[in-house]
Amino acid sequence: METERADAPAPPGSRSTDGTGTAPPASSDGGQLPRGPLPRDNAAADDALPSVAELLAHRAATGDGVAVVGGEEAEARRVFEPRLRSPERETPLPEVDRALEFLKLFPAIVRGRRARFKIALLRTLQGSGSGRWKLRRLQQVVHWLEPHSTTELVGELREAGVLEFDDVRRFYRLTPEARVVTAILSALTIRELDPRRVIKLLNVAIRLALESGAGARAAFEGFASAVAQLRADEEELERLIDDGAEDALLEAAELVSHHVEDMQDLLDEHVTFRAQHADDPDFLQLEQDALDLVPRLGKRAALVIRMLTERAEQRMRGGARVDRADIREFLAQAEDLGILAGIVAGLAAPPPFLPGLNGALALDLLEVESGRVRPEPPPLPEPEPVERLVPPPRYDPTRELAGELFALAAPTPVTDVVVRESWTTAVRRHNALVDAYSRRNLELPALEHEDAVDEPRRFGVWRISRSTIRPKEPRP
Amino acid sequence: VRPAEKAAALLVRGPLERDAWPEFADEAFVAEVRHRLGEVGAELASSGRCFVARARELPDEAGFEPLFRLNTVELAMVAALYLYLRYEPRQRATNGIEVDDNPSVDVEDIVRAFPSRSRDYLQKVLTRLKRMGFVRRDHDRLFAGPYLAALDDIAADARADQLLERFLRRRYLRRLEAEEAGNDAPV
Repeated sequence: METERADAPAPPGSRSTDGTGTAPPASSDGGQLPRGPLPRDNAAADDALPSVAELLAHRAATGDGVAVVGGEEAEARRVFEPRLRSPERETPLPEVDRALEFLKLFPAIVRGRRARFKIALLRTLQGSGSGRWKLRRLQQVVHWLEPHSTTELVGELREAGVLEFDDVRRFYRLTPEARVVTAILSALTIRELDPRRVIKLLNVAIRLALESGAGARAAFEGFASAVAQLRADEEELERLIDDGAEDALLEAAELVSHHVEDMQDLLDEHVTFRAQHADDPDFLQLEQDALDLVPRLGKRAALVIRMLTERAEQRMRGGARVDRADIREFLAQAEDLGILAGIVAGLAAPPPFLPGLNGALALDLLEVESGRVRPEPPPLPEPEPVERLVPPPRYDPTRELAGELFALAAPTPVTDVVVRESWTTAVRRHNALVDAYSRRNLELPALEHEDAVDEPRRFGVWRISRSTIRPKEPRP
Repeated sequence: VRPAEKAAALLVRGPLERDAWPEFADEAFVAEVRHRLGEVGAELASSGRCFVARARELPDEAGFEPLFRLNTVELAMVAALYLYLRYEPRQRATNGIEVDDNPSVDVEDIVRAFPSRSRDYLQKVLTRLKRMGFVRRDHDRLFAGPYLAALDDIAADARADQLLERFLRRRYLRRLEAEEAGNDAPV
């Protein structure tokens, strides 16, 4: 593969100060680059990042990678052109197209084997303080690189439009776009992304989108991404509550706390943006989700941290263990018996045996059993006529006392009726009197009560309420 | 010395008391018993006081319907018995708390754990588990039978740990939430 660098027009992003649109080559002696193709070893691999199709084809050929793709399929992918399901104006593509010239600066810098050198060179220039450099000065600034290599890399960066060459004053300078790209690349020159900083970085990206004029949609997408991160955090936290080790759960809860704080900062920082898009139902829904998630998730994470701390302290004191009350409660709330059964599934194997049977013994026993006669109850006696007997008269003190009451001819104090013979007799007669009046009050002579008390003082009776029995007048 | 063949033949009919079979102290004897049981899809297990043979888990085979297979309710009840009679006592012992040598649980504790099932049905399940040697019953108390005692406690404890830890965490969080809700409530 030949590089087209020497004779091709300057890339669209490159600038010249003479207005021709073509960037002159530079060399180490006067700012002019040597003409002609670059050394073969550098150019061959540096022209383009291998495409996905190329990678797949390579994997298919070598058997490397997960998917093994045949040559025809790889070729089909090479010519594959994505097809839209919606009108293009309804997709992010027009915005991307408008920014493509700028965005192309990123692959121009980061692709190929020499990407690391180009990024490092740009970072050095960015930090050198001077805004423009003659080639010799530039080689001095990038002191860590061999001068000829610096010249080659500068040529490539100039062709990509990252460096601008003033052919009148013979100096190079970073284009404004290149300064931004370099700054972003510098900021992202990290070993790996700290997951705790995701939302903070998304906030920065939203700020960048708003400041750079990338449009509300770009900010909206960053916002949506931050909310999606919180949702993922919530799912992960709940999963770890159920199945995670305590250290993993604690780590997740702390991460969630970070994210919640950062999300709150994001919401506070972009309050104007939020107000401006309050009439967008999609954004409104997203904002509501965020406003709901932040307190809920923050509280959840704090509770999880508190729970883990308290339980760790309990264990330190030797107090945290499962007791019978816990098991009772656990069993009571276990609605799915399958989950409970899972504790012993595959472990609780039943015994392998069946009772051994002796055939001869079984038949003998059958004979014994079949010869048995079911026991019968003894016969009943023959029926006999029954003699009717008059029941003996039953002593009824109430009836007897009632008879005495009916026989009274003149008003008589209850004392005279009740108090007879002995204390026992007096009590019995009193009970009979009360019982008689309870049952036959209307038939019996009238009973008049008074507030006074009689004091018979005989047969053991000292005091008794004064009442008088008045026989009824005979009817005419 | 009695032959391993006899021990294996007896084991597939019922448990062997450890004290009555000193031959099991001999590793070669035990290996022979294991081999013979393995030939018929069973395995030797120890339940402390006795040795038992239990059916090894086998893949389903066309045209084969096992006579003994624990259904979900039976397994769940074995799990409940395991938690009370094996898991919880071991937890106590781990924490240095005195443990009953022969832990038991009230029948009511087991029956109440399955409120969706009738008492009659649960009593039948208990009877079936008793016949299979998973549980012993003395009036209203249930004790671990040889087959419950012979259960692989490492694997079962790990599963129980996971489920109970989940339950305890959720319960703890609910309590904290309720506590905080109480604190937040207007006075």
